Amino acid sequence: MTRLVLTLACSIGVLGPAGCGDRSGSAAPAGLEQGLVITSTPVAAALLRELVPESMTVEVVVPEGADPLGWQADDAAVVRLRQAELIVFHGTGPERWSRTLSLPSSRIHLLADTVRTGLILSEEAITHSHGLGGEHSHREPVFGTWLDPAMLRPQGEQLVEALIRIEPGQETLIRANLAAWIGSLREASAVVERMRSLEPRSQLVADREGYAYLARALRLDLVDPEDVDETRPSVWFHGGIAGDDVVTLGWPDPLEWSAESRGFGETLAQRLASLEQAIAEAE
Amino acid sequence: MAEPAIELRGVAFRYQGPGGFRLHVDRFDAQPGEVVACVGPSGSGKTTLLDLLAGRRVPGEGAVRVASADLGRLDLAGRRRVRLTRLGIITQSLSLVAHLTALENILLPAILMGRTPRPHARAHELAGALEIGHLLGRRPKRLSQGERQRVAVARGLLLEPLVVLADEPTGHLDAARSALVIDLLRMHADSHAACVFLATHDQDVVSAADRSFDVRELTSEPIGDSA
Amino acid sequence: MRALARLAWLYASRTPVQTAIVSVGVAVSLALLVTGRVLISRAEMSLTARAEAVPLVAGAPGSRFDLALALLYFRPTPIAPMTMGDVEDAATLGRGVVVPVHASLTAGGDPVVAVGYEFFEQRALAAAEGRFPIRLGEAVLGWDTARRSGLVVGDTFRTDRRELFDLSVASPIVLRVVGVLAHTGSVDDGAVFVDIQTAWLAEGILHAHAAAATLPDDQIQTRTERSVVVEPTSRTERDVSAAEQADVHMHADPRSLPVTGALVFPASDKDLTILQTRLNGDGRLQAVRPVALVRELFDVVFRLRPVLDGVTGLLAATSIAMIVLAAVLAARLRSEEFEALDHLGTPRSFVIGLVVAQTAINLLLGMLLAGLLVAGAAWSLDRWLGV
Repeated sequence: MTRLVLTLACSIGVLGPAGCGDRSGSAAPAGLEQGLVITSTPVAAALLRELVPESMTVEVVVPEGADPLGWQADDAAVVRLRQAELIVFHGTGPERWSRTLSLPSSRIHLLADTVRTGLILSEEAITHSHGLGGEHSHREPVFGTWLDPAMLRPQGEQLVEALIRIEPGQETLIRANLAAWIGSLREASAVVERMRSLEPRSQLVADREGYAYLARALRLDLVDPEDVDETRPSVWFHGGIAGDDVVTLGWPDPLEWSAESRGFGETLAQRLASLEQAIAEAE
Repeated sequence: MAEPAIELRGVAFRYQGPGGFRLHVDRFDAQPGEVVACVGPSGSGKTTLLDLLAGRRVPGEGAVRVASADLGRLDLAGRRRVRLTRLGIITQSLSLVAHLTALENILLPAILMGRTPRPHARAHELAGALEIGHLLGRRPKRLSQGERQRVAVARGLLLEPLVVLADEPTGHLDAARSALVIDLLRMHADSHAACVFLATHDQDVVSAADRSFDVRELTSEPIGDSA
Repeated sequence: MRALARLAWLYASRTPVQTAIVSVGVAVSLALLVTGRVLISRAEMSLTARAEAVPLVAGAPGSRFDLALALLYFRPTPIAPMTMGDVEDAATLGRGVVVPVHASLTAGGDPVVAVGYEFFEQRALAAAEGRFPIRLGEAVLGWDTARRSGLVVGDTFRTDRRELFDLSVASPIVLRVVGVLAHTGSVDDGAVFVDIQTAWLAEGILHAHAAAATLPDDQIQTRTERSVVVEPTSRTERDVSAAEQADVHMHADPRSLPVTGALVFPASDKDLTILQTRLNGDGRLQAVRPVALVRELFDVVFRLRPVLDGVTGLLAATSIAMIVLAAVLAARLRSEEFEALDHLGTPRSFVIGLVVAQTAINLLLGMLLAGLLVAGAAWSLDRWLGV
């Protein structure tokens, strides 16, 4: 009886007009631009360009020269993002601007998801209090996961799976690109292994936490310029005054890394080699 | 001699209702162009005689021939057809249709026969002659009894019938309007060689008729032998 | 025949009260006869169309009907929420698009439905004016909601206050109209759509502090250079301006955020089966196929068909008796007219024809009126349901 009453109530309660003009969800939504992949930083774009086939287009939504950490997306940028078949975000700090935007989450690929267990939480917490909640802080993962070759590889591998989902016809080509890219990472990995075996005493100095993954891979301390231990040799990624046991690398900001004319792996290997040399000099 | 417009031979009819009576007509003729007045007190059988002539009642015996139609040989539908197409009927109760205007009531025979253009002009002509031209848009309930009567007279003459059967056509009219109706009926008889048979109490009507008779005479002996 | 039609129409038009009474009687009888069937058939069509458009709905365990009603028709039903973690896990299976839906708010009595952006894509909705929501606090109105409320792009409105006396319930937020959906002829027309995060903002899970700095002193507990502690009793409206959006944050684990449920659009039939099996797998969630639910629903409704047929039969018999009675009474009322027609020599068949024609006119008018009544009933029902 209860079931009958419920059924009747349902039948009356949901009387709506006929003809919803609905469609099944299996078809691709209208308005998508085929083969368009949009990402948030030049680094991710460089990674993508080594993996995607020529038929796909890679765009960076943040304008060139803008700081992704402080940039705010305008409406046109959001509309453009919605047209992408795949949106590739780091999933750490660089897409802070996207948090409150209405984006197609099913088409967003987060590089950090692949290495979530290895993420380092930022020390730069925002602390405040309100209402009855008392003082509290918000911590988020540090960006720069691409500076550790061991973390970079699985990110590339998972990214390829996302690319194949939108371009299944190009799977062979995409996997070939992946294989070549993995090959290009070998040298960088070798540099890291070599440096780890040397067990350097140096401290790495940077005012951005983005180098934390690299420091962890090398088993080195990453310190803020204000907390430098002057009794130990130090390598500054940028800034700093060179001395007997201080070496300055002059690296670009990690978020502005691009592959330049070389491949992603080769660029990383060269940078790591320069870091290896700088540490040797400092010590 | 022309064929009589009305011809009754050996007609016997028994009226069964309260105050019943027996009507017997051995022979009665009325000629085209003749105005005949039938008089007699109420309940003496004037209306019954008109009904026999209109084919609304059928005699037990004898023949009734009106406007060249032998009513005794016709069935009910045939008699109705004769009434509609050849006779002009003006009833004592006036028989106006309440929801139709005066004009529509006048035009009713034409509407029923499916004719419209010419009867319109004829209806206006008759209404003018009867001084009801300005009342044609009104419905019967907004007309006086005299005005209604003139509408009924106009309707009876609309299709220029060969025989007009009129029951008290001036019963609700003053002397002046009565004269209008009498003149119109007279004119119709003259101009269309039509026979106008009237049942009336009105002495002016009787005086204007070519001849008159008392209906009570019909129960004993034939009367009105035509010339 | 022309004379018959002319006289019948003259009678009908010159006796409007009588014609109206009989026609209305006929109309009500006919409307009663057909309304039930029309509404059931309408419900079936509507339910089936919408159910077919969404292959699978997922939510917390409980009444399957409540879940489907809440997610497909935005009806307020007492169902437990699922979490965004569940939605993300379902999406991670990679077998289709999983769209979170949170229908916990109303504005002016209309449901405010918070959805993932893919809701608009998967349901092929288009904006007749403006655009879909991009930021927190932005809303796109269904076609009927826009017409009813008179709101246009650029206007603002408030969500309804949910609890007057419970201070722990977040106060209404201000929503800004950024678009109006094209007419769909579905329940979407009677709703307001916002991004899923706006619902959490409305529920107080997401919040910003920038506005606190501008609050009057009587709503502030303490104010220092670095922090402002707001009185817990402060219940101001909340308007998240574009400037404040950068400061919006939450204290909860994003995976624990509540949603009423999720619409699932699998990539293929195989994916549908796999998704349904996986989602129903451990009993923490339930996945329901709306089409199957609708079939089940109407199986029960149609089991009542003999009762409905009986009632319809009785109504039909009553209606016929009423029409015959009306014809007989009309004939009596018109006896003088028929007597007059008889005097003039009108054929009896013509008089009978007049009665039949009058009845036909009344039936025709009644049927027209019945059509209007049925349409009106359906329209009123739609209005009542907020469709």
